[in-house]
Amino acid sequence: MTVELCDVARRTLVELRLSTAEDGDLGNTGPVQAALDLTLPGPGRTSQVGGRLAVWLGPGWWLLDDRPDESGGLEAGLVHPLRATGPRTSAVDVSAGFVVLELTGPSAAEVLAHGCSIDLHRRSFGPGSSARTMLAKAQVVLARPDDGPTYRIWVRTSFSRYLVEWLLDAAVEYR
Amino acid sequence: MLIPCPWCGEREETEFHYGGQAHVAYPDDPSAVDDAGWAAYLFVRDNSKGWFAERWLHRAGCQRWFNAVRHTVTYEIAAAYPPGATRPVIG
Repeated sequence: MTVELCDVARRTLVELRLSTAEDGDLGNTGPVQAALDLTLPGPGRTSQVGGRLAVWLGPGWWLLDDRPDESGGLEAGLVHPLRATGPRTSAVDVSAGFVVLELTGPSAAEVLAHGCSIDLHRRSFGPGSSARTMLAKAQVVLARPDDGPTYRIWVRTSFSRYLVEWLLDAAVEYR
Repeated sequence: MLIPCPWCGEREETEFHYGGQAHVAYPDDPSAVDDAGWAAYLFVRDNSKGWFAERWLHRAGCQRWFNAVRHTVTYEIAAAYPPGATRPVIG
């Protein structure tokens, strides 16, 4: 088997918006980065510490992906750091809005390439890369968090069944 | 066609939404504008052959509006820049 698809269950997802960092200057986001214990990544990048992953989505806009936590601790823990960072900041728990999938294996990039216009070759989408893009006409966030041939896909819950069926179909020839 | 988003880099055209002519300024004194003036502001746009500054939304990516200078014959894009920036001089 050269490719494997799995559903990463019950991840805690928080969308973080910091208007003060829209120009790419993370100078005054210290309180937030300290609370998260990680460095917020720049355009097209991810950063991670332990089981916590941050993905750049747009200027001043990140997706945080953390271990399962039913208590909403990640969102609640950001309230005070956000106040200290400045006006027009937000952290919203969107765990129920997305399904998190992982596609792993030597052929994973080839499977994705059937429906994705991003160049997934290592030289342009290497470890630590991310993109908010289209995959098989579904809007997704795509990331390659580390050195392994593993791609993490965040897709809207309502699109997840379609996307999973598409991925299973696209992977048939790699079985 | 690849469109260079100022924040995300080159992406496929299907990720974007077209927003019409760029740099159409809102009237300085709206209450002084008559019906013909509003009609011109709302509906009348250039239809030039050659370099044309237009608005684009990176809908499937960073969800940001930006401006691009595109050649309406060759579809070549000479510049993409954030909203609020002045139009670069092309050619």
